[in-house]
Amino acid sequence: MNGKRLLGVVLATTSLALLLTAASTAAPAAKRGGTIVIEFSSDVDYVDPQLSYYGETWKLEAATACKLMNWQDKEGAAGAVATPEVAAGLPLVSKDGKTYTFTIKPGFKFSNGQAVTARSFVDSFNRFANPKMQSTGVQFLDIVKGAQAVIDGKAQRISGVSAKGNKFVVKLTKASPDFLARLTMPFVQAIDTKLAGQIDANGINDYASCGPYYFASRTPGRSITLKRNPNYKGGRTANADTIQVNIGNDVAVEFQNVEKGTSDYASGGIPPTEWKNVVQKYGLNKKDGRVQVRPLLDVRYVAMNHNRPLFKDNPQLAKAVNWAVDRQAFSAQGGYLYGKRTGQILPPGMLGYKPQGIYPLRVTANTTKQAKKLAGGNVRGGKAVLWSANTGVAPLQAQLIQYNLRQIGIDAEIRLMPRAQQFTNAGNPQTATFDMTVERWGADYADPYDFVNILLDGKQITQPQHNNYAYFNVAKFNRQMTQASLLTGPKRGTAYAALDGALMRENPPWAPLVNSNDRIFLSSRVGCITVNEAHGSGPLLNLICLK
Amino acid sequence: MTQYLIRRILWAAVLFVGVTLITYVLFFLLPADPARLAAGKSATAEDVERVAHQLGLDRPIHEQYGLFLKRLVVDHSLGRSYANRRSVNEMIGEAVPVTAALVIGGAILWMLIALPVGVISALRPRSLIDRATMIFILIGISAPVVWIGLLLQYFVGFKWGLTPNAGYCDVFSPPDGATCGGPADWAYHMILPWVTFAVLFAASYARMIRSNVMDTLGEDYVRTARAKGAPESLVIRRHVLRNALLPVVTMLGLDIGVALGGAIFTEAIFNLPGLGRLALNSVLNLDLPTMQGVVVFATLAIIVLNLIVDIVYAYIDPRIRLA
Amino acid sequence: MSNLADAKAAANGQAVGFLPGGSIAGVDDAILDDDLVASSVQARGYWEGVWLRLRRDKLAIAGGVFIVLLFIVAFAGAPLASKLLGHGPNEPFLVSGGLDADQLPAGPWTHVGKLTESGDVDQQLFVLGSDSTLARDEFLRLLYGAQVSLEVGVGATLLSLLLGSILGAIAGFHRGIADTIISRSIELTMAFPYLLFVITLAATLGTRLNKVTFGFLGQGVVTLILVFGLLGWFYSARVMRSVALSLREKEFVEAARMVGASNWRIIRSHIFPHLVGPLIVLATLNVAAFILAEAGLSFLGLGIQLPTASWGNLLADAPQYYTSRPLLMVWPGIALLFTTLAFNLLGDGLRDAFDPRGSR
Repeated sequence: MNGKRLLGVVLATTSLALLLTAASTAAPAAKRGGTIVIEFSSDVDYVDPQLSYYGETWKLEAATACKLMNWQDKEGAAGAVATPEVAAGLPLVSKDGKTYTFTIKPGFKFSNGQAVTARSFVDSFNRFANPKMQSTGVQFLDIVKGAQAVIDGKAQRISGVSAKGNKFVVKLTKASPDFLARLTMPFVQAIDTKLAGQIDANGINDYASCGPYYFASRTPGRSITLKRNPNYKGGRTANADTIQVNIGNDVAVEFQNVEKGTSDYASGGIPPTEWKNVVQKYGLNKKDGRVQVRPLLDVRYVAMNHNRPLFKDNPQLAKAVNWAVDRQAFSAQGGYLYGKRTGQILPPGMLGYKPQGIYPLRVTANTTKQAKKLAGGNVRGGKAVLWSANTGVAPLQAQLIQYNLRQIGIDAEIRLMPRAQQFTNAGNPQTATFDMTVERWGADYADPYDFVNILLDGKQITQPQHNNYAYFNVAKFNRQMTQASLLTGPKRGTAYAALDGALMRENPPWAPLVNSNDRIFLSSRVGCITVNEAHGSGPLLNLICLK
Repeated sequence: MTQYLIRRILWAAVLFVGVTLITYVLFFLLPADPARLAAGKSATAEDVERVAHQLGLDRPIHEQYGLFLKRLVVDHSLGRSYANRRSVNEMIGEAVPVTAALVIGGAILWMLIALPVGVISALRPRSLIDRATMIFILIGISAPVVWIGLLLQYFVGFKWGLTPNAGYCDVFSPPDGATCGGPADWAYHMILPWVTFAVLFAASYARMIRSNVMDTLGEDYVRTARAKGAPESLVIRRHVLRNALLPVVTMLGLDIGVALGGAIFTEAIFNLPGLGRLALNSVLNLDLPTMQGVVVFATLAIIVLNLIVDIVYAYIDPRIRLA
Repeated sequence: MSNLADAKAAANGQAVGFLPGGSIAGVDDAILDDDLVASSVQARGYWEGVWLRLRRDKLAIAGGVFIVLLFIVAFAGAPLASKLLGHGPNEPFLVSGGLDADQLPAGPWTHVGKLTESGDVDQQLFVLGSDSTLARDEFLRLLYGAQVSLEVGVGATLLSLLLGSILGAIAGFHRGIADTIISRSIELTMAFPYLLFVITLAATLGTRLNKVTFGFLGQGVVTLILVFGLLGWFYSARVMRSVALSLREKEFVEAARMVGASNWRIIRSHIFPHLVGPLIVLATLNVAAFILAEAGLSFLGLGIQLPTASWGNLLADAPQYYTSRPLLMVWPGIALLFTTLAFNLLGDGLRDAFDPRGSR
């Protein structure tokens, strides 16, 4: 053939080939259908949106809720920015930063057909604050004008929250740069008029949702079922028809089930020693691979109770504890890739994180010597009560801490209890009879306020229920925390980093131990795996599909 | 006879009151604060007082007990769980069929093993079968139930994949979205639990039956029957078995309480949503009303079942019937 | 529970007792055969006869020997081993060697490093490897666990038998009000679902009692002894009661009464000797049952408190190492199996030895 026609043919074939390849690697549209089975090792607290405050439930609500601001269903940087979902765009903010006006995008519908309006959010805020609901998340409403009056039972409706046509308006008591992030919490998702009227502190188990899925049924202690929302017209994908959650299996059984393929995701975890095996067998972080590991915005730490004689005005002992604890061994209890050792309050990836090398990340003869030196003369009798959860690796970790403490002359008595009881009693000044408690805090939203102010600001400890388990109340630091919370941009990060360093160096409230990883083990049946820790740990449930 | 019956029933009622009293007192001496737990997580001191008053916890303990008894007898209510606010009656109602399936199925299985094994080895003492039986019996009663359950689950359930490794399937009306249901699934999932549960009892019942049969074989009336020329099979059927097995019936009645204990381990290992697991979880979570509810219910069941056994026994045993 | 069904059950031999795992032989009337009536010459012969019969039962002797060895190993051997090896059962060896390269517990016969004051690493031996990711010595924990199992088994047995036999003997011998009260109490205790109650009591009393160790017992041992003992007394009481009931009608008792002996003297000199036999049998079988019960409770997390080792805890932590260190499940399981087997064999042998008519 002459040259020109040959070129023509080559071009045509190439473009055809390219077109075909493009078509086959295009977004897999044909992956809908089927049932995904997930294992939880214990029951959730509630599925009620205004009550549930538990990581496992929030994973499910990530698929059922529609919110003013939400995280995108993407990995990495794109997924870490709060973007408007039901809000038509970013809100109009008044000059003093105290009034936010959102325009509600039309088209969102609940699973029962009702439309999502501005009123849906007003109802949500009000139900959240309603004292009869006894929700434990209400501290996040502290900046909303009029919310405290409702929480205290002095008013019926929150004065600062209102709906005008398709506009939703929120008035704050002071400017708060993290307000938009707070709106991503499931507590303030849109709720329909029926749920708005159901005020029950026991929690409602089935209700209409406006996200890609809704809670079709719940058998407490046994199972939860999510089904695709037939009326959902928002932009998020919903691949599986049904998401079935089975509750109660031991981690060894969960592992067996996912390994065999009778279940798809071991949300409760697998035996710690299995992680090394499965990584060797199935590889790590392959595309749609069976083992996925991502860092989490959380911190595991030993809180030292500054209200009790042992640690009250005793920074030397607190520093000694930081020198004595064996972070490596603590991590080893959880198995391969449990997490990263840390000596800071803020986790990596959080604005303001800066590793400052204040405390050792591994124990040697020298570090033990240093620990003993700091502790010497400061143990005040040497008796302590150490609280810990009673399931999983927690008892082992508690014994490890007990051993470390013995090296510096503290005889710690371990008290094991159910996790919920542990943080409930620790957070209540009347029942906090511990000297140390092994705790874990996961970010509610990605801002250092959620770690530093919520957990360490002294004004918290007067509340009947709070998260300042260290009962830390130092005026100088309280001031610095408040100042830092008013800053924006890079200045905010620098201020919080300095605060983190100063706290740990001068007067540590905790011994931070490890920043956990989200370790995900999946069956061979599933694909379309995307992980966005801002939504919650695990694979995004609306995207996961059967291969 | 009637007198006997009336006395037994009255005594059962007294037993019940005694048991509930002891249970109530013990549980409310717990170091946990029931009012605080019931008041919810963000309770203030005033909230706790208010709830305490509502629950009647600020009244003297004998009044509290009276209220509890009244609520139990009149409203038939065992209260609400602290863990998930559900009615304890409801939770127990859901759990009983599961435990009943485990215990009854297990009992049938263990009798199916123990009867032939016990009888045959008694009829052929010191034979190979007898020796093998004795070994089986000894291991069966000496090995920890938990160990057996775990081994079975790992090998049979997982490694060899012969049966499901855990979980329960409802026979009728499985909950919405359940991954299995119906009689076939149900039985398949119950195989390992039944075997785990039955091993221990099979061994001890085999031993009991064996010794009963051997005893009966030595009795005078058996010798007489043989002397009269009755065929061996008739002797065994009519005289030996009937008399040897009567005590077994009594034991079955006594063992109901024990069976519930074995069920706790089996349900924990295989994740069966029965009374045992309900009790265990409520203990681990310090969920007082549920703990108490399960104990009261189980005790009531034992008292009633024992009463029935006694009545049946009274009918069979002429000494009582004709008294 | 009707007294009739009761006595029949006890006399006809078995009751699985009140625990899954406990199997108690019954008491046969044959023990009370008139041939064995106490008189100075024949009383000696009685015990000699028992011993002779027992000696013939090789399995029972093997069981007895095993038990004696177990006591020695547990109470003398464990501290000795600890001294020889240079470390205790609760010390984690996380610094070097206790966990292998994959962060798994070290396998059997591994040398692990212990950090000394001066900063050196002292190499010591783990005979059976590490017990868990806390890298403690499995071998020592097994030995010290034997201590705990025996403490609980023997302690609970002593308590329950003491209570049960005294109360049962009084009830059977005196009849009347004492009998009524005691029998009714027995029925009351029997009405409780045993294990359920044990679990709830262990959880509730445990929070207060687990710290009590009298200096040498493990944490949680006292709780279990009390809970098992206080809820288990009814069993031996029932048996003792029927034995006493049948004894009181015997002629030698009548004879003693005619001679003017007081009730107490009759009980002491004539009844108790005949109770010893069944008591010993009950004791050995009860110990086996309580050891298994402790293992079960510790498995559920309610028994012996960490970090004290017990066979039950060892068994509880082992399944997660199924695939990597399966032997960890084997050691405590076998220890429990052999110990219980030994006590059962001995108990069976004793039962046969005390009962000359047995063709079992």
